[in-house]
Amino acid sequence: MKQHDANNKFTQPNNHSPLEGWVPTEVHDWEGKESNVLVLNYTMSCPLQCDFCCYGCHPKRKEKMPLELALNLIKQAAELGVFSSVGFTGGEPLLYPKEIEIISKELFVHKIPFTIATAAHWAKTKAHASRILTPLKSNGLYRINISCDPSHQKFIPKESVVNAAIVASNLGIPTYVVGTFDSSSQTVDSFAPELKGVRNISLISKYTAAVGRAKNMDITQSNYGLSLGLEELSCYRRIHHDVVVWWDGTVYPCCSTFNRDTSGIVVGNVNSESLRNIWYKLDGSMLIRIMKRKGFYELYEIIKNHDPELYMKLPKAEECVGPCSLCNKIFGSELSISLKQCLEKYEQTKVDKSIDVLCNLVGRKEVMRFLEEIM
Amino acid sequence: MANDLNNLRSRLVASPVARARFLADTLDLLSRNGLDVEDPDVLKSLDLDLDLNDGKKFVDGLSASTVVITITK
Repeated sequence: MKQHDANNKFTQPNNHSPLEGWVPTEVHDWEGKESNVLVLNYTMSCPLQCDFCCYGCHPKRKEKMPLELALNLIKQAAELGVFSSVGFTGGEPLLYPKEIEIISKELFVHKIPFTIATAAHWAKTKAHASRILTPLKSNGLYRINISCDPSHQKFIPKESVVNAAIVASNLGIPTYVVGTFDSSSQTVDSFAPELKGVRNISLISKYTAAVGRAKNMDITQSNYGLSLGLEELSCYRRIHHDVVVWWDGTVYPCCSTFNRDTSGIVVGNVNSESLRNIWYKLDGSMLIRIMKRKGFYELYEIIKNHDPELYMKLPKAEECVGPCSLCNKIFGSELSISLKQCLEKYEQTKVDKSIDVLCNLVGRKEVMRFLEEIM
Repeated sequence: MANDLNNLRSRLVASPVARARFLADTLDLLSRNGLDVEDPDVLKSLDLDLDLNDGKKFVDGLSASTVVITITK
Protein backbone atom coordinates (compact mmCIF):
# COMPACT_ATOMS: atom_id res chain seq x y z
CA MET A 1 0.00 0.00 0.00
CA LYS A 2 1.30 3.43 -0.86
CA GLN A 3 2.43 5.36 2.20
CA HIS A 4 2.07 9.09 2.20
CA ASP A 5 5.07 10.94 3.55
CA ALA A 6 3.31 14.10 4.75
CA ASN A 7 4.25 13.26 8.32
CA ASN A 8 7.91 13.53 7.36
CA LYS A 9 7.38 17.21 6.62
CA PHE A 10 6.40 17.99 10.23
CA THR A 11 8.99 19.54 12.44
CA GLN A 12 8.95 20.04 16.16
CA PRO A 13 11.09 22.99 17.08
CA ASN A 14 10.84 24.01 20.70
CA ASN A 15 7.85 26.17 21.66
CA HIS A 16 6.23 25.90 18.23
CA SER A 17 3.40 23.87 16.85
CA PRO A 18 4.64 20.54 15.59
CA LEU A 19 2.90 21.36 12.33
CA GLU A 20 4.72 24.62 11.73
CA GLY A 21 6.40 24.77 8.39
CA TRP A 22 3.72 22.81 6.61
CA VAL A 23 1.31 25.32 5.17
CA PRO A 24 -0.01 25.82 1.68
CA THR A 25 1.92 28.59 -0.02
CA GLU A 26 -0.64 29.70 -2.54
CA VAL A 27 -4.30 29.57 -3.29
CA HIS A 28 -4.34 26.59 -5.60
CA ASP A 29 -1.60 24.65 -3.89
CA TRP A 30 -3.78 21.58 -3.84
CA GLU A 31 -1.39 19.72 -6.07
CA GLY A 32 1.66 21.08 -4.23
CA LYS A 33 1.98 20.04 -0.62
CA GLU A 34 -1.54 18.72 -0.44
CA SER A 35 -2.04 15.22 -1.73
CA ASN A 36 -5.21 13.38 -0.76
CA VAL A 37 -7.59 15.08 1.64
CA LEU A 38 -10.24 13.46 3.83
CA VAL A 39 -13.12 15.88 4.12
CA LEU A 40 -15.78 15.46 6.78
CA ASN A 41 -19.04 17.13 5.83
CA TYR A 42 -19.96 17.30 9.47
CA THR A 43 -23.44 18.78 9.55
CA MET A 44 -26.22 20.23 7.42
CA SER A 45 -27.17 22.62 10.19
CA CYS A 46 -26.11 26.20 9.65
CA PRO A 47 -27.01 29.52 11.25
CA LEU A 48 -27.35 30.92 7.72
CA GLN A 49 -29.71 30.26 4.86
CA CYS A 50 -27.83 31.61 1.83
CA ASP A 51 -29.83 31.90 -1.36
CA PHE A 52 -27.26 29.92 -3.38
CA CYS A 53 -26.41 27.24 -0.79
CA CYS A 54 -25.45 24.13 -2.73
CA TYR A 55 -26.72 21.81 0.01
CA GLY A 56 -29.79 23.76 1.15
CA CYS A 57 -28.42 24.19 4.69
CA HIS A 58 -30.33 26.22 7.25
CA PRO A 59 -30.83 26.53 11.03
CA LYS A 60 -33.63 23.96 11.28
CA ARG A 61 -31.64 21.13 9.73
CA LYS A 62 -30.28 18.75 12.34
CA GLU A 63 -28.28 16.19 10.37
CA LYS A 64 -24.86 15.66 11.92
CA MET A 65 -22.07 13.11 11.74
CA PRO A 66 -21.83 11.11 14.98
CA LEU A 67 -18.69 12.06 16.89
CA GLU A 68 -17.75 8.37 17.22
CA LEU A 69 -17.85 7.97 13.44
CA ALA A 70 -15.62 11.01 12.93
CA LEU A 71 -13.07 9.73 15.47
CA ASN A 72 -13.12 6.29 13.89
CA LEU A 73 -12.55 7.79 10.45
CA ILE A 74 -9.51 9.70 11.71
CA LYS A 75 -8.02 6.48 13.10
CA GLN A 76 -8.71 4.69 9.79
CA ALA A 77 -7.24 7.58 7.84
CA ALA A 78 -4.08 7.55 9.95
CA GLU A 79 -3.68 3.81 9.40
CA LEU A 80 -4.28 4.12 5.67
CA GLY A 81 -1.53 6.73 5.46
CA VAL A 82 -2.58 8.40 2.20
CA PHE A 83 -4.03 11.70 3.44
CA SER A 84 -2.02 14.89 3.79
CA SER A 85 -4.79 16.60 5.75
CA VAL A 86 -8.41 16.51 6.88
CA GLY A 87 -11.02 19.18 6.13
CA PHE A 88 -14.16 20.05 8.06
CA THR A 89 -17.07 21.51 6.16
CA GLY A 90 -20.86 21.53 6.22
CA GLY A 91 -23.23 23.38 6.90
CA GLU A 92 -21.34 25.02 9.73
CA PRO A 93 -18.99 22.61 11.53
CA LEU A 94 -18.29 25.16 14.27
CA LEU A 95 -21.85 24.88 15.51
CA TYR A 96 -20.19 21.99 17.38
CA PRO A 97 -16.92 23.56 18.57
CA LYS A 98 -16.38 21.08 21.41
CA GLU A 99 -16.74 18.10 19.10
CA ILE A 100 -14.45 19.65 16.50
CA GLU A 101 -11.90 20.27 19.26
CA ILE A 102 -12.14 16.62 20.39
CA ILE A 103 -11.62 15.40 16.82
CA SER A 104 -8.73 17.84 16.40
CA LYS A 105 -7.02 16.28 19.43
CA GLU A 106 -7.24 12.90 17.70
CA LEU A 107 -5.81 14.48 14.54
CA PHE A 108 -2.95 15.93 16.57
CA VAL A 109 -2.13 12.51 17.99
CA HIS A 110 -1.77 11.22 14.43
CA LYS A 111 0.02 14.38 13.24
CA ILE A 112 -2.59 15.09 10.59
CA PRO A 113 -3.19 18.81 10.01
CA PHE A 114 -6.67 20.07 9.25
CA THR A 115 -8.67 22.90 7.76
CA ILE A 116 -12.10 24.30 8.55
CA ALA A 117 -14.65 25.98 6.28
CA THR A 118 -16.84 28.34 8.30
CA ALA A 119 -19.05 31.41 8.12
CA ALA A 120 -17.59 32.75 11.40
CA HIS A 121 -20.85 33.15 13.38
CA TRP A 122 -18.65 32.43 16.43
CA ALA A 123 -16.54 35.56 16.01
CA LYS A 124 -18.82 38.28 17.43
CA THR A 125 -15.70 39.73 19.03
CA LYS A 126 -12.00 39.04 18.67
CA ALA A 127 -12.05 37.50 22.15
CA HIS A 128 -14.75 35.04 21.04
CA ALA A 129 -12.74 34.22 17.92
CA SER A 130 -9.58 33.66 19.92
CA ARG A 131 -11.34 31.23 22.30
CA ILE A 132 -12.37 29.10 19.31
CA LEU A 133 -9.22 29.33 17.22
CA THR A 134 -6.40 29.10 19.76
CA PRO A 135 -6.95 25.47 20.84
CA LEU A 136 -7.61 24.42 17.25
CA LYS A 137 -4.36 26.03 16.14
CA SER A 138 -2.53 24.13 18.89
CA ASN A 139 -4.00 20.89 17.58
CA GLY A 140 -2.99 21.48 13.98
CA LEU A 141 -5.42 23.89 12.29
CA TYR A 142 -3.31 24.91 9.33
CA ARG A 143 -5.82 26.88 7.27
CA ILE A 144 -9.27 28.35 7.74
CA ASN A 145 -11.74 29.22 4.96
CA ILE A 146 -14.17 31.97 5.91
CA SER A 147 -17.16 32.83 3.75
CA CYS A 148 -17.77 36.48 2.96
CA ASP A 149 -20.17 37.87 0.35
CA PRO A 150 -23.54 39.65 0.20
CA SER A 151 -25.51 36.41 0.69
CA HIS A 152 -23.59 35.43 3.81
CA GLN A 153 -23.70 38.98 5.10
CA LYS A 154 -27.50 38.87 5.34
CA PHE A 155 -26.98 36.52 8.28
CA ILE A 156 -23.48 37.14 9.62
CA PRO A 157 -22.18 40.71 9.89
CA LYS A 158 -18.94 41.36 8.04
CA GLU A 159 -17.45 42.42 11.37
CA SER A 160 -17.51 38.76 12.49
CA VAL A 161 -15.64 37.72 9.35
CA VAL A 162 -13.05 40.43 9.92
CA ASN A 163 -12.68 39.44 13.61
CA ALA A 164 -12.16 35.79 12.69
CA ALA A 165 -9.74 36.59 9.85
CA ILE A 166 -7.63 39.01 11.88
CA VAL A 167 -7.41 36.69 14.89
CA ALA A 168 -6.48 33.79 12.58
CA SER A 169 -3.88 35.96 10.90
CA ASN A 170 -2.39 36.99 14.24
CA LEU A 171 -2.23 33.34 15.29
CA GLY A 172 -0.30 32.61 12.08
CA ILE A 173 -3.12 30.59 10.53
CA PRO A 174 -3.32 31.04 6.74
CA THR A 175 -6.82 32.28 5.99
CA TYR A 176 -8.83 32.18 2.80
CA VAL A 177 -11.71 34.63 2.75
CA VAL A 178 -13.97 33.18 0.09
CA GLY A 179 -16.87 34.99 -1.49
CA THR A 180 -19.41 33.57 -3.91
CA PHE A 181 -20.97 35.99 -6.35
CA ASP A 182 -23.42 35.82 -9.22
CA SER A 183 -21.59 38.34 -11.33
CA SER A 184 -17.98 38.31 -12.49
CA SER A 185 -17.79 42.04 -11.81
CA GLN A 186 -18.05 41.40 -8.06
CA THR A 187 -15.08 40.27 -5.99
CA VAL A 188 -14.12 39.74 -2.38
CA ASP A 189 -11.45 42.40 -2.84
CA SER A 190 -14.10 45.06 -3.37
CA PHE A 191 -16.53 43.57 -0.83
CA ALA A 192 -14.02 43.32 2.02
CA PRO A 193 -11.22 45.80 1.17
CA GLU A 194 -10.20 46.00 4.84
CA LEU A 195 -8.77 42.48 4.53
CA LYS A 196 -6.77 43.19 1.40
CA GLY A 197 -3.04 42.98 1.94
CA VAL A 198 -3.34 41.63 5.49
CA ARG A 199 -0.63 39.09 6.29
CA ASN A 200 -1.72 35.43 6.01
CA ILE A 201 -5.06 36.37 4.38
CA SER A 202 -5.93 35.52 0.78
CA LEU A 203 -9.13 36.80 -0.83
CA ILE A 204 -10.76 34.39 -3.24
CA SER A 205 -13.74 35.11 -5.45
CA LYS A 206 -15.88 32.31 -6.78
CA TYR A 207 -19.11 32.31 -8.71
CA THR A 208 -22.45 30.73 -8.03
CA ALA A 209 -23.05 27.32 -9.51
CA ALA A 210 -26.54 26.20 -10.53
CA VAL A 211 -26.99 23.61 -7.80
CA GLY A 212 -28.87 23.34 -4.52
CA ARG A 213 -30.85 26.47 -3.75
CA ALA A 214 -29.39 28.06 -6.87
CA LYS A 215 -30.49 25.21 -9.15
CA ASN A 216 -33.09 27.27 -10.97
CA MET A 217 -31.00 30.40 -11.32
CA ASP A 218 -30.32 31.34 -14.91
CA ILE A 219 -26.60 30.68 -14.88
CA THR A 220 -24.72 30.24 -18.15
CA GLN A 221 -21.10 30.48 -19.27
CA SER A 222 -21.72 33.96 -20.63
CA ASN A 223 -22.79 35.18 -17.15
CA TYR A 224 -19.17 34.77 -16.13
CA GLY A 225 -17.52 35.66 -19.41
CA LEU A 226 -16.51 32.06 -20.05
CA SER A 227 -16.15 30.10 -23.23
CA LEU A 228 -15.17 26.62 -22.06
CA GLY A 229 -15.10 23.74 -24.47
CA LEU A 230 -14.74 20.06 -23.69
CA GLU A 231 -10.94 20.22 -24.01
CA GLU A 232 -10.75 22.60 -21.08
CA LEU A 233 -12.83 20.54 -18.68
CA SER A 234 -11.50 18.03 -16.19
CA CYS A 235 -12.00 17.19 -12.55
CA TYR A 236 -10.52 19.98 -10.42
CA ARG A 237 -8.16 17.56 -8.59
CA ARG A 238 -6.00 16.32 -11.44
CA ILE A 239 -3.88 13.83 -9.53
CA HIS A 240 -5.01 13.27 -5.96
CA HIS A 241 -8.40 12.87 -4.34
CA ASP A 242 -10.66 14.76 -1.98
CA VAL A 243 -12.47 11.93 -0.22
CA VAL A 244 -15.62 13.54 1.14
CA VAL A 245 -17.59 11.72 3.82
CA TRP A 246 -21.04 13.05 4.59
CA TRP A 247 -22.83 13.02 7.94
CA ASP A 248 -24.68 9.85 6.86
CA GLY A 249 -21.48 8.04 5.83
CA THR A 250 -21.94 8.45 2.06
CA VAL A 251 -18.60 9.01 0.33
CA TYR A 252 -18.03 11.21 -2.74
CA PRO A 253 -14.78 11.48 -4.72
CA CYS A 254 -14.70 15.28 -4.69
CA CYS A 255 -15.56 18.39 -2.74
CA SER A 256 -17.46 20.01 -5.56
CA THR A 257 -20.67 21.81 -4.70
CA PHE A 258 -22.38 19.42 -7.12
CA ASN A 259 -21.33 16.26 -5.32
CA ARG A 260 -24.49 15.59 -3.33
CA ASP A 261 -26.61 16.20 -6.40
CA THR A 262 -24.64 13.65 -8.44
CA SER A 263 -25.60 10.21 -7.16
CA GLY A 264 -23.69 8.40 -9.92
CA ILE A 265 -20.33 9.34 -8.42
CA VAL A 266 -20.97 7.91 -4.93
CA VAL A 267 -18.04 5.66 -3.99
CA GLY A 268 -19.56 3.87 -0.99
CA ASN A 269 -20.62 4.33 2.63
CA VAL A 270 -18.29 4.20 5.63
CA ASN A 271 -21.08 2.78 7.80
CA SER A 272 -20.96 -0.47 5.82
CA GLU A 273 -17.38 -0.67 4.55
CA SER A 274 -13.94 0.37 5.62
CA LEU A 275 -12.23 3.56 4.53
CA ARG A 276 -9.49 1.38 3.07
CA ASN A 277 -12.00 -0.40 0.83
CA ILE A 278 -13.45 2.88 -0.29
CA TRP A 279 -9.96 4.22 -0.98
CA TYR A 280 -9.17 1.27 -3.25
CA LYS A 281 -12.42 1.76 -5.19
CA LEU A 282 -11.65 5.44 -5.68
CA ASP A 283 -7.93 5.28 -6.44
CA GLY A 284 -8.44 2.22 -8.62
CA SER A 285 -11.28 3.65 -10.70
CA MET A 286 -10.29 4.06 -14.32
CA LEU A 287 -13.31 6.29 -14.92
CA ILE A 288 -12.26 8.73 -12.21
CA ARG A 289 -8.66 8.52 -13.37
CA ILE A 290 -9.69 9.52 -16.90
CA MET A 291 -11.87 12.40 -15.68
CA LYS A 292 -8.98 13.71 -13.61
CA ARG A 293 -5.85 13.09 -15.64
CA LYS A 294 -7.18 13.09 -19.17
CA GLY A 295 -10.29 15.23 -18.90
CA PHE A 296 -13.75 15.11 -20.35
CA TYR A 297 -12.62 15.38 -23.96
CA GLU A 298 -10.81 12.07 -23.65
CA LEU A 299 -13.76 10.52 -21.82
CA TYR A 300 -16.09 11.59 -24.61
CA GLU A 301 -13.69 10.20 -27.24
CA ILE A 302 -13.65 6.82 -25.50
CA ILE A 303 -17.45 6.76 -25.42
CA LYS A 304 -17.60 7.83 -29.07
CA ASN A 305 -15.37 4.92 -30.07
CA HIS A 306 -17.04 2.29 -27.91
CA ASP A 307 -20.71 3.35 -27.79
CA PRO A 308 -21.59 5.91 -30.48
CA GLU A 309 -25.27 5.81 -29.53
CA LEU A 310 -24.48 6.82 -25.96
CA TYR A 311 -22.07 9.48 -27.20
CA MET A 312 -24.89 11.22 -29.05
CA LYS A 313 -26.82 11.56 -25.79
CA LEU A 314 -23.99 13.10 -23.78
CA PRO A 315 -24.47 16.75 -22.72
CA LYS A 316 -22.57 19.46 -24.57
CA ALA A 317 -19.83 21.37 -22.76
CA GLU A 318 -21.36 24.66 -23.89
CA GLU A 319 -24.55 23.86 -21.97
CA CYS A 320 -22.62 23.55 -18.71
CA VAL A 321 -20.74 26.05 -16.63
CA GLY A 322 -17.57 24.21 -15.79
CA PRO A 323 -16.59 20.56 -15.36
CA CYS A 324 -18.61 19.91 -12.21
CA SER A 325 -21.77 21.03 -13.92
CA LEU A 326 -20.98 18.68 -16.84
CA CYS A 327 -20.22 15.81 -14.48
CA ASN A 328 -23.53 16.46 -12.74
CA LYS A 329 -25.47 16.36 -16.01
CA ILE A 330 -23.93 12.97 -16.81
CA PHE A 331 -23.72 11.22 -13.46
CA GLY A 332 -26.82 12.81 -11.97
CA SER A 333 -28.93 11.35 -14.79
CA GLU A 334 -29.85 7.98 -16.31
CA LEU A 335 -26.79 8.33 -18.58
CA SER A 336 -24.66 7.38 -15.57
CA ILE A 337 -25.46 3.66 -15.72
CA SER A 338 -24.77 3.34 -19.47
CA LEU A 339 -21.57 5.32 -19.25
CA LYS A 340 -20.26 3.24 -16.37
CA GLN A 341 -21.06 0.04 -18.25
CA CYS A 342 -19.15 1.33 -21.27
CA LEU A 343 -16.17 2.31 -19.12
CA GLU A 344 -16.20 -1.04 -17.36
CA LYS A 345 -15.66 -2.84 -20.66
CA TYR A 346 -12.94 -0.35 -21.55
CA GLU A 347 -11.26 -0.90 -18.20
CA GLN A 348 -11.45 -4.69 -18.55
CA THR A 349 -9.74 -4.54 -21.94
CA LYS A 350 -6.98 -2.25 -20.70
CA VAL A 351 -6.31 -4.30 -17.58
CA ASP A 352 -6.22 -7.50 -19.60
CA LYS A 353 -3.70 -6.06 -22.08
CA SER A 354 -1.50 -4.65 -19.32
CA ILE A 355 -0.85 -8.13 -17.83
CA ASP A 356 1.46 -9.09 -20.70
CA VAL A 357 3.34 -5.81 -20.40
CA LEU A 358 3.70 -6.29 -16.65
CA CYS A 359 5.04 -9.80 -17.17
CA ASN A 360 7.74 -8.37 -19.46
CA LEU A 361 8.59 -5.67 -16.93
CA VAL A 362 8.69 -7.59 -13.64
CA GLY A 363 8.42 -11.25 -14.63
CA ARG A 364 5.53 -13.69 -14.72
CA LYS A 365 6.13 -15.04 -11.22
CA GLU A 366 6.00 -11.59 -9.67
CA VAL A 367 2.81 -10.73 -11.56
CA MET A 368 1.18 -13.93 -10.32
CA ARG A 369 2.22 -13.19 -6.76
CA PHE A 370 0.77 -9.69 -7.12
CA LEU A 371 -2.50 -10.96 -8.54
CA GLU A 372 -2.85 -13.58 -5.81
CA GLU A 373 -2.30 -10.87 -3.23
CA ILE A 374 -5.00 -8.56 -4.56
CA MET A 375 -7.70 -11.15 -5.26
CA MET B 1 2.02 -22.07 -14.84
CA ALA B 2 0.48 -20.53 -17.95
CA ASN B 3 -2.90 -21.85 -16.87
CA ASP B 4 -2.45 -20.40 -13.40
CA LEU B 5 -1.71 -16.95 -14.85
CA ASN B 6 -4.63 -17.18 -17.24
CA ASN B 7 -6.88 -18.18 -14.42
CA LEU B 8 -5.77 -15.24 -12.31
CA ARG B 9 -6.07 -12.95 -15.30
CA SER B 10 -9.66 -14.04 -15.97
CA ARG B 11 -10.60 -13.53 -12.35
CA LEU B 12 -8.97 -10.11 -12.36
CA VAL B 13 -10.80 -8.96 -15.47
CA ALA B 14 -14.14 -10.22 -14.14
CA SER B 15 -13.89 -8.60 -10.69
CA PRO B 16 -14.42 -4.81 -10.30
CA VAL B 17 -12.94 -4.96 -6.80
CA ALA B 18 -9.81 -6.78 -7.99
CA ARG B 19 -9.41 -4.41 -10.93
CA ALA B 20 -9.63 -1.44 -8.59
CA ARG B 21 -6.92 -2.95 -6.36
CA PHE B 22 -4.85 -3.68 -9.46
CA LEU B 23 -5.07 -0.11 -10.74
CA ALA B 24 -4.43 1.34 -7.28
CA ASP B 25 -1.36 -0.80 -6.56
CA THR B 26 0.39 -1.25 -9.92
CA LEU B 27 2.81 1.60 -9.30
CA ASP B 28 3.85 -0.01 -6.02
CA LEU B 29 4.47 -3.26 -7.88
CA LEU B 30 6.72 -1.49 -10.35
CA SER B 31 8.75 0.40 -7.76
CA ARG B 32 9.11 -2.73 -5.58
CA ASN B 33 10.71 -4.37 -8.58
CA GLY B 34 13.16 -1.58 -9.11
CA LEU B 35 11.44 0.11 -12.03
CA ASP B 36 11.47 3.84 -12.42
CA VAL B 37 7.84 4.89 -11.98
CA GLU B 38 8.70 8.32 -13.36
CA ASP B 39 9.80 6.83 -16.65
CA PRO B 40 7.13 7.92 -19.14
CA ASP B 41 7.93 5.03 -21.47
CA VAL B 42 7.19 2.50 -18.73
CA LEU B 43 3.91 4.16 -17.86
CA LYS B 44 2.93 4.59 -21.48
CA SER B 45 3.59 0.93 -22.22
CA LEU B 46 1.12 -0.06 -19.52
CA ASP B 47 -1.51 2.34 -20.85
CA LEU B 48 -3.39 2.53 -17.57
CA ASP B 49 -3.38 6.31 -17.07
CA LEU B 50 -0.88 5.94 -14.25
CA ASP B 51 1.03 9.13 -14.91
CA LEU B 52 1.28 10.99 -11.62
CA ASN B 53 4.42 12.80 -12.38
CA ASP B 54 3.86 15.51 -14.91
CA GLY B 55 2.45 17.73 -12.22
CA LYS B 56 3.06 21.01 -13.97
CA LYS B 57 0.98 19.90 -16.92
CA PHE B 58 -1.90 19.19 -14.57
CA VAL B 59 -1.57 22.30 -12.45
CA ASP B 60 -1.40 24.60 -15.45
CA GLY B 61 -4.72 23.24 -16.57
CA LEU B 62 -6.31 23.84 -13.20
CA SER B 63 -7.42 27.44 -13.57
CA ALA B 64 -9.99 26.84 -16.27
CA SER B 65 -11.44 23.96 -14.33
CA THR B 66 -11.84 25.72 -11.01
CA VAL B 67 -13.03 29.23 -11.76
CA VAL B 68 -16.73 28.56 -11.50
CA ILE B 69 -16.65 25.82 -8.96
CA THR B 70 -17.36 26.74 -5.42
CA ILE B 71 -15.40 24.12 -3.56
CA THR B 72 -16.68 23.69 -0.05
CA LYS B 73 -13.42 22.36 1.40
